[in-house]
Amino acid sequence: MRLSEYQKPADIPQCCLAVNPGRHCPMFGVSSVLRSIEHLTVIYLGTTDCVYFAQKAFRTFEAEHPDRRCARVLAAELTEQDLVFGLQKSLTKLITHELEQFPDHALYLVTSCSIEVISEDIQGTVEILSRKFNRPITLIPTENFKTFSYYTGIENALAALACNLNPVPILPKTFGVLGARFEGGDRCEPVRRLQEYGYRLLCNFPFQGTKKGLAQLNAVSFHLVIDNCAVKLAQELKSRFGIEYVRFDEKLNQSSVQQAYRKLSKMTGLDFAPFIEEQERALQKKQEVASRRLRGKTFFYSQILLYPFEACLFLARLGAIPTCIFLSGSLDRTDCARKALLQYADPELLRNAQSDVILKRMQQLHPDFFIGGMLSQAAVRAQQVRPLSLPVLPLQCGYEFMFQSLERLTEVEVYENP
Amino acid sequence: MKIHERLPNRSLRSGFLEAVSTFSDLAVLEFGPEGTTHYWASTISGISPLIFTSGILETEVIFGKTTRYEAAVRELIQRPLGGLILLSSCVSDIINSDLCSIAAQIQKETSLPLMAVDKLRLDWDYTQGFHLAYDLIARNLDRFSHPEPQPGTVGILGLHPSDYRGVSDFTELKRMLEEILGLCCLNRPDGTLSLSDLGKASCFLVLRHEAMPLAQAISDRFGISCRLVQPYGPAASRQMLDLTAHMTDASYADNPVFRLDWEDALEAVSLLRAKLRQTGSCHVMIHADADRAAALGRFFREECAVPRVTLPNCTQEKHGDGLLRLPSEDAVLQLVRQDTPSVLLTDEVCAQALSGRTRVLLFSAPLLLKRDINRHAPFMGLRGTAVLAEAILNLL
Repeated sequence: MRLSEYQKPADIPQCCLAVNPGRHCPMFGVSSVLRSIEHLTVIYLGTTDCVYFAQKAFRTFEAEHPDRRCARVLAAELTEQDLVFGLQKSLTKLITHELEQFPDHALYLVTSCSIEVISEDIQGTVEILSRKFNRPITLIPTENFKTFSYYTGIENALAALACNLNPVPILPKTFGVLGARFEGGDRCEPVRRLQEYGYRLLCNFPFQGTKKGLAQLNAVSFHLVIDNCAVKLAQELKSRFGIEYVRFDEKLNQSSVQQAYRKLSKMTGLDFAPFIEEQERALQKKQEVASRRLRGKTFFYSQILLYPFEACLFLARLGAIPTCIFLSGSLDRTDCARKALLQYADPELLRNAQSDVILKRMQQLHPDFFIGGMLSQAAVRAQQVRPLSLPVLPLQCGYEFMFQSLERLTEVEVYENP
Repeated sequence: MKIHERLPNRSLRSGFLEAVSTFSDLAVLEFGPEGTTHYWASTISGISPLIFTSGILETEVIFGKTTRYEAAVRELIQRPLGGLILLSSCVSDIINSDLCSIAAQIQKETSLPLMAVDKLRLDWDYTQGFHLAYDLIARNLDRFSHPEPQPGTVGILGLHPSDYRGVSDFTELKRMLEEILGLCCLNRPDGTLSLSDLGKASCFLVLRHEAMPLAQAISDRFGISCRLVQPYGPAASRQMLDLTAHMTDASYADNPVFRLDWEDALEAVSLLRAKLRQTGSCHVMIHADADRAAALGRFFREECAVPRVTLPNCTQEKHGDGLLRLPSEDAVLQLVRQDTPSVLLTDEVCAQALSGRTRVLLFSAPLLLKRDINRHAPFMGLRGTAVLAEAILNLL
């Protein structure tokens, strides 16, 4: 399939039909968010195949963070009897017990594919019990077969957390960072800029996914969204509590970064114009250097966490030509970058590519670069192709991310013989 | 519905895949959501290159279509494999996909043996998965290619490289076979065998009861002797050497390596026995797979003179002498809290929950990446005995 033919993720042809080991599941996206928040009860409901690994992921996290207070996590394993007689009775008993035993816990019920397939009305049961006990019970379905990536699980879990917040007074000159799943989100460029002007970072979510962090989500003046996974959460917080957000998740979209800083100026009254001007000038110089190196060079793209069409457009504007895009983890939220990219090239789109198939494609198309980590550097070099990777952890953003990306694109060793 | 605060028992499919991946040329293609295969395969990263999934799409769930799955099977039969298993998932079982018919249909196009496993019970655990896998291979034994037998060779069945200390246990057994008995072990360095090796060895050592149906089939089909062994401690290690020597006409009585290893093992056990005696009414609890727990139980009772050994087990495996059957991992934990042993051999989950309550020696590791911990020093065999004894002495 060519980029020009693309309409929706499900249409992208699978490069390999038999894959090893397959993609992450959204249930584990949910798990990565909820596990660290105390005073939550999380029930994973599904067959042993699913709940064993969800519980294992939680226990591993707990073992790695012995000093951290975690959620109460239960694995509810489906039996043959449940398939025949239904789940309602035993589920009601379980939820009732949990609500009674842990009166200060919010309850999250996370269901797997098999629950969806047996068409049990879990939502109905949850609503009845929520009304009966006057307590929030949130259902998060995680059907792997309906989703493109495990990111959906992270997004849905974050948005679900926002649903259970109560209004609190907003603290002036405070802000939050949304979307950082690893350490470092609190040191990204827009955070540093705001802190220079006396703004206080109050929450860094979901990295500091604690009860305190959760309570402060709607106490800040505004949020900075630094990763794709938190856009839905930001929208939810805006619609429920009127908290503004600024999107820094479109990391390789220069005009989006500029707009984000302009919005920040408008919201805070701070003058970011000189900063923007200075950064744009420096960026242009860097881009010229990168462009001299990249112009006319072809590349395969397989980076996982960035918006793929946006990243390819960024490279295409520097003169590089995408010939093949392997899609896996993340997808652009709008069609703008794809349409703009079409003015430069019409690359092939593929998903579920095993390494042997990618290598075969390389032998056919001979790209100059392979961008992303789907293959080992040695395997790429063996094909006389230069391996290259853009920064991947969703922590840096703003102009800084583009500078870091351009640095990598202009590194001398990249252009040495592969 | 069964509720677990700790870890549930692993699923039937998990055991099935683990057993199947001990064969280096046997592939599996699961028909179901990619997540289950992903997490199982990444748990033992690098050891399962032939475990595939086709994924399942919403439209396939709704309309019961299998066209894409069939194409995935056709993709795999082009590979140089010894066999291919079509495996259902909980989702494809619920929607009643008929993988046996697909296998029968595609078998007409290829000489590669295709096998299908579907309509599996939800409440069977991993031990039943082991049974199912070895039984399936046993039933299809005639369909695999078998070269001429090679005298002086031994195969090891039922030891998985992803087991806790699995690769090192295997390496120690291989060393004993080679250095003490002068035999050649057919398993590859990572412990795997190829399907064609099943007719090639002079004898097989079987390390899991669940693998016995396959051993029996090998014995019936090729006349190859197979023996179940669990070489924990000097006596069981020596028994393994005796049985193997008997099956292969090898001898080792005058072997200097054996003498040295044997004396070291005896000395280590003697030190351990003395230390355990000092602790008074010693109680050792072993929470491990049935065969292993039973063998270690014998070692502690008979060779270390431990007066009380408890072997809690909550799997569905029926074999294993003296096991205390419990309904779940949560019940095991409750037992340990009520009747705290002097020494507990268990997994990390239990160890974590009992932190500070008793002396714990890790004996399985479901949480950690198995890639690393399977290469710790061995517990099996003569040199493993010294390592095990020292580990327990350090605890005491």
